[in-house]
Amino acid sequence: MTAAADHLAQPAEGAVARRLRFLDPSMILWIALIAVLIFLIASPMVRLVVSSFQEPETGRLTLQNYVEAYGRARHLQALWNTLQFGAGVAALSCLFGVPLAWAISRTDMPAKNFIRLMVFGAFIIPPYLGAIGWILLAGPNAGWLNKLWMAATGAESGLFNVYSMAGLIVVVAVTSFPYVFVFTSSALDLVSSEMEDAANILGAGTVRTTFRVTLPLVLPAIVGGLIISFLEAIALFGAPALIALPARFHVVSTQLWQFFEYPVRVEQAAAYAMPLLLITLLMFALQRSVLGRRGYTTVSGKGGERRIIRLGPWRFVMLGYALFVCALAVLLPMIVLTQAAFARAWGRGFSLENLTLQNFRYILFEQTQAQNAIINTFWYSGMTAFAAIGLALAIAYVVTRKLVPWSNVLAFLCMAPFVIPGIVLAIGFYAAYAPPPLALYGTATILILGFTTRFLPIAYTSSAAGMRSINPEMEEAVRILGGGRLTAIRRVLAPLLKRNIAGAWILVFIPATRELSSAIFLVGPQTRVISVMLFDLSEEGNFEVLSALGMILLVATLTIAAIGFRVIGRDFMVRSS
Amino acid sequence: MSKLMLRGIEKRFGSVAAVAGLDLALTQGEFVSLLGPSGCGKTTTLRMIAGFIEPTAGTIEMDGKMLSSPAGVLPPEKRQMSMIFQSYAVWPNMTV
Repeated sequence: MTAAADHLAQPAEGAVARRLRFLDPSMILWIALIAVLIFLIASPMVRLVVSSFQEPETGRLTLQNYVEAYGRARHLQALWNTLQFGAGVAALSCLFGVPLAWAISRTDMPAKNFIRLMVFGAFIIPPYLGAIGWILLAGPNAGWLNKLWMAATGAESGLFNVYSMAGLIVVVAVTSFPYVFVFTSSALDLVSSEMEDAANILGAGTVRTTFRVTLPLVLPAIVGGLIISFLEAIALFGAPALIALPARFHVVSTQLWQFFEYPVRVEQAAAYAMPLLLITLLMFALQRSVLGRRGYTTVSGKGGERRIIRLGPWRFVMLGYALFVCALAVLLPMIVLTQAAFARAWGRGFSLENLTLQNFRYILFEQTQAQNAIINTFWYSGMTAFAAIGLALAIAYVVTRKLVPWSNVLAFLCMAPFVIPGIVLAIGFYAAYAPPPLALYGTATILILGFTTRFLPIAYTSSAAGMRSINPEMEEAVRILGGGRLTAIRRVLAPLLKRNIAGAWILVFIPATRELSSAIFLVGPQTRVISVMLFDLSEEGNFEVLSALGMILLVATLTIAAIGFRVIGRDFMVRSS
Repeated sequence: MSKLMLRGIEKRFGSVAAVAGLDLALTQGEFVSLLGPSGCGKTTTLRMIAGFIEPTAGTIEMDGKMLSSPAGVLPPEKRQMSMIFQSYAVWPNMTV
């Protein structure tokens, strides 16, 4: 037999072949994906950190940027303002979100579906549109609520002033309480009534049980929601810019934007962005440890039997509170925005002669800038969705099918933008790719790349979930019958993932159409998008045209969300968040 | 001459050895059952024969042709094998 000789010859030959096989197709795919992810995520972030330590002209290492960024009382005040703002929004979100979640999940409050729909509406309305609605409602003199107050009481001045820290907190909290709501209600849905029954048997009433048993059980979820709304708030640009700037105070995001006013000081902005990045990383670490804590397991167990709490007459009190929150979040701002969109002058109120379609005609047919912004928005968002989903699917395939040993590196990089505030990411992108050699400043490319990076985690979570739901044996059966990997992907995997891909596409497309925080740093004169245009219009005080443009954005978003519901089912927006 | 020949087959997942030092020779028409508690490597062995996973060491030959060795593995679609899967693998997107 020659077998023995073969065996002797093999080790050396095998080693070479192993090294050659390093270049098989899945390995090449892995290398390509890593390269793309480094370009999209690692490089801008490294560039951000490095340039914060560099002299603008020479590139020499220096601490001067930090001295400039933190040396002024004004800049430190903005940092402090941001913390106050974030904490205020988180606390208020809790006050709005938790009672509503409890009422819908555990009680017999009427009109649950309507409230649920309103919460979803609050989730889908971009914070800057809410802010504009609130400027119309609670502007110091002309705001609707103030005019009503003055008419009703004969007072000299209005009651509310949206241009204040308190105003800003309320305006942002009404758009971010859905995070607390979603976290809390999904946890409440899992708490077994047996826990509450045990408390009842020992003599505790409904109120005591709720505060001593039910809510403590879902506390980790509430804290998780709080952290998310805090982080959303501090990374927000639009609403703070609309409200804080006229109120003459700064938060970190608006201060960062100031560094980009002429002369552009990217290095100082990078240095100034560091606390935002560090706080976010810290909070996410905190959230992980909170959600991973013992005691939460009671909640993750099987639901068991759940009993609805009868509130008696109190259920109308509860409904009143829910309606109050929904009015603040959706009804009031949307009513005044709609009025302004169809008005010659919004201050003249609801009357027939004040009614006009002129604002829409102006945007859609007369003003080319607005037309371009609309086209740009949907074009960039569509491209972003395709790019993010394509990349996410390839990565999810490599990771879930374990094609290469180090596939988890891909998943980690892919999820990294989730913990980077959009505004920080945008500054990193600007620092890395706006100047030569790539010189992407003002191009559509830098916007699409920036958006793709920003929304990659959404695309990935959704794609990986879909990929995991398909048993690999489906593909193995193809290969046993003689089909290659590509046949398996084309004939089995792709058709099975169709719905999932469509859903993921919408999940990326919607936030991309309304993205402002990162867009504001990456747009050029030719690449303005609706969100940026809205912001510019508000600086001109042209609220009628602005409202009309906002309505167009909102109607488009709602249409696409409705298609999403049709394709994917009721809770598709919630699943990936 | 055996139809299927496994020599010194070994499969490690990290530090865990799923299959260690398996030799198996099958002749044409022979019927063999692999019996053992769960986790002892039955499926892993079948999947290595089919070509879905690559052995850490050892060789697999069929009709004297090398299917799998440290020098290279033939992909499953080129092996002319058949396999019934544990969970059902009926493509829901297709009709009969």
